Amino acid sequence: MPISDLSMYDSLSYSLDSVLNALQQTETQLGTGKRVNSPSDDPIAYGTSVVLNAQLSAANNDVNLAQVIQGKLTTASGQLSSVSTAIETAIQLATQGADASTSATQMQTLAHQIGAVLNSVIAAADTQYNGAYVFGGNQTLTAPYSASGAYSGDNSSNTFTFMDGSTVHLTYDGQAIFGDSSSGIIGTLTALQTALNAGNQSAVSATLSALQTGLQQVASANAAMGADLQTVASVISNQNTNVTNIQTTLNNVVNLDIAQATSREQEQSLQEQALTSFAAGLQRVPLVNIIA
Amino acid sequence: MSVNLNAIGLSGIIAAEAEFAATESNLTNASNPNYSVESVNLATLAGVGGEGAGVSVLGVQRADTPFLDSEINQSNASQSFYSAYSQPLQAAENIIAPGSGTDLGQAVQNLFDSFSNLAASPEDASARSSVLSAAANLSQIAQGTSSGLSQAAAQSAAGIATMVGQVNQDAQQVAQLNGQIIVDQANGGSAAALLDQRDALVNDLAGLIGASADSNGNVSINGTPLVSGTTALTLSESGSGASLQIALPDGSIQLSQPGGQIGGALSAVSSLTSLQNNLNSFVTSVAKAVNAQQEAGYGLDGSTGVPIFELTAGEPIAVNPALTTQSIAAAASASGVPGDGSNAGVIAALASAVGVDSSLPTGNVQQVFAQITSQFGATVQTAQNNQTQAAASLSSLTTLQSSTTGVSLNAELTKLIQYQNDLQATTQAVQAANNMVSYLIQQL
Repeated sequence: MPISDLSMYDSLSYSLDSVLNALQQTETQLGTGKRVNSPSDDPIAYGTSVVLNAQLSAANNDVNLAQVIQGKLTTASGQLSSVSTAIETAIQLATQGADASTSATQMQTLAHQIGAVLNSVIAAADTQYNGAYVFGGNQTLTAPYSASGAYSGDNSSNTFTFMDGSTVHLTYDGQAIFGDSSSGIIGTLTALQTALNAGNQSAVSATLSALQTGLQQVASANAAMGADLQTVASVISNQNTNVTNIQTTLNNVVNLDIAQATSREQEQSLQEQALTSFAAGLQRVPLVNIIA
Repeated sequence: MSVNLNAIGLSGIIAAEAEFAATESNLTNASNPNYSVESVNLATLAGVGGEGAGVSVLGVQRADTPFLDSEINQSNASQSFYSAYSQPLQAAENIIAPGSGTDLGQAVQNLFDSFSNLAASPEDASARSSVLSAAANLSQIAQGTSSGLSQAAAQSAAGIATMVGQVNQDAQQVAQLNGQIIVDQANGGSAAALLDQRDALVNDLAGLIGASADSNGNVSINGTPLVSGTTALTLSESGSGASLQIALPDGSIQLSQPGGQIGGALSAVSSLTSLQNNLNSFVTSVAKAVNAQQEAGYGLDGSTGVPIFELTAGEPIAVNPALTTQSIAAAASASGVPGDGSNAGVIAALASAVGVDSSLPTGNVQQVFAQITSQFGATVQTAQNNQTQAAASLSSLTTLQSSTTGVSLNAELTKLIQYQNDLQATTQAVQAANNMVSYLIQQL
C-alpha cells in the first residue's frame, strides 16, 4: 500500500498529540498528587469525594466544637469545685459560730469571713466563658447573680447535640444549683452572715444542715457536669477516629499511586521522544534527497 | 506496409509530456490535503494492420474513494461535534469544581457548619458574624457559578452565527461547483480540480453541521436538503439560549439535531443551561429550607420571620439585605433568650436531611450536589471519550484514503525518472528514425 507523505505527517501529528495529551494528564496528576482532579476524571469517585469532604468538614467542626465545649465545662466544673471548698469552709465557720464559747466579737469576725465566702460563691455563679454566663440558664448575656445574691437568670438550660446524637449541657439553671438570696446555698450563706452579725447562735446552728444540703446540691451538679465532660471526651475521641477513617477513605478514592504514575510518565516521555526523533528523520527519507 | 516513425515518436513525446504534467501537479500538491492524486490514462494507437503505432492520451484520471469520502465526512462530523461539545463542558467543570477555592457543595457545608457553631454559642457575636459570612459566601459562589455557566453557554452560542454563515457560503460554492462540473464533464474534461474543491467543501460542511453529499454533490443534513444541484438554501439561527435552533429559509422547518461543530455547540448550550438550572434549583432548595427554619426562630434582637436569603425566580440567591447578626434566629421558642441555640441546631441538622427538593436527585444535601456534579462529570467524560474515538477513527480513515488519493513523493519521483527515461528513449528513437531516413535519402 503506498503511503502518501501528507498522511505520514498527519499520522505523526496525531500520534504526538495523543501522547502529549496523555503526558499532560499524567503530569497534572503528579503535580497535584491526585488521580481525580475534576468530575470527568472519574465521575463516581468525584461524587464520593464530595460527600466524604462534607463529612470530613462536619466531623472536624464537631471536634472543634467539642473542644470548645470541653473548655467551657472544665472551667464551670472547676468553679463548682471551688464552691464546694467554700461551702466546707463555711460549715467550719458556722460550727465555730454555733459554739457557745464564741464571743460576740469573734462572731462579727466570722460574719465577715462568711461574707467573703458568699462573695466567692456568687462570683463562681457568675462564671463566664467566651463572654457567655454559664449559670444563668438561657440568659447568657447578663450576670445571673447580683452582689446581693438575687437571681436574674431563667430556669432553663441550653443543650448541644453532636453529630452522633449525644447531647450535653452548655448552660445551667443557676438557681437550681446555688439558689438565690433567700434559698439554696446563697440564701443559707446570707442567713448565716445575718445570724453571725446578730450574735444569734441558735440561728447560726440552724444553717448547718442547710449548708450540708447546699454542698450536696453543688456536688450533684458537678457530677452531672462531669458526665457531660465524659460525653464530650468520648465525642472528641470518636470523631477523631472518624476523621482519620474518612481521610483514609478519601485518600484511597482520589489520591494517586505515585509509583505507577511515575512509571507511566516515563513511558509516555519515551514515546514522545521516539516520535520526535522519527519526525526529525522524516526529512531524510524522500527520494528527492537522493536524486537531487 | 509503411510506418510513420516520426508520428509514433511524437505520440510518445506527447504522452510523456502529459505524464510529466500530471506528476508535476501531484508533486506541487503533495501537501494539499484536499488534493486527489492524478494519473494519465493511456491507450495503444493501432496501425493500419492492427499493430501498435504509438500511444494515445485518453485523459487525466483523478483517484477517487467515494465510500471512504462518506465515512471520513461522518467521522469528521462526529469529531467536530464532540470537540465543540466537550470543550465548553470542560471549561464548565472548572467553574463547578475549581481546583482551588470553595465550590458550591463546600460553601453549603460551611453554612451548615456555621449554624452548628452558632448552636453551641448562640449569644456569641463572632459565631453570628460567621453565619452571615458563610451565607454571603454561598450567595457569592452561587452567583459566580450561575454567571460562569451562563457565560460559557453564551460563548458557545456566540460562535454559531459565524458557523451558519460559513455553512451558507460553502453551500453556495458547492451549488456553483455542481454547475461547473456538469459543464466540464460534458465537454470531455475530468473536472478533477473542481471535484477536489467540492469534496473539500462537503468535508467542511460535514465538520460544520454534519452534512453529507451524494456523488452528484447534492448535500443534505439529516435528510433535509441543503444543496440540490445548482440550488443552495440559506440557513439561519432562531430562538436563543437552550431553545436556539437552526432553521431553513422560511423558518417553518427547524433542523432536527444538526451535527458537526454547530450541533456540538447547540448541545453544549443545552447541557450548560441544564446544569445551571440544576445547580440553581439545588442552591435555591437549600436556601428555602434554611429560610423556613430561620423564619420559625427568634433573633437576639427578638425579631422573627426574617429570612437569611432573598429568593427571586430565575435569579441566583442573595443574602437578605435586612439581615443582621442580631436577627439570625438561633433561638427556637421565644424572644429574649440569648442562650437558646436550638433553632440554629435544627438548621445545622438540615445538612443531613433527605429530600431538600423533590425535583432534584434524592439524598441529603451533599449527596444531591455529588450526584449533580458526578452526572455532569460522566457527560463530559463520555464526550471526551467519543471525541477521542472519533479523532482516532478520522485519523485512521484519512490514512487509508491517503493510500489511494494522497501523493507519495517517492512514488512520484520514481515515475518522474521513468518518464524522463521514456522521453529520452522516444526522442532518441525519433532521432534514429530521422537518421535512417536521412541515410536512405543520401543513398538514393
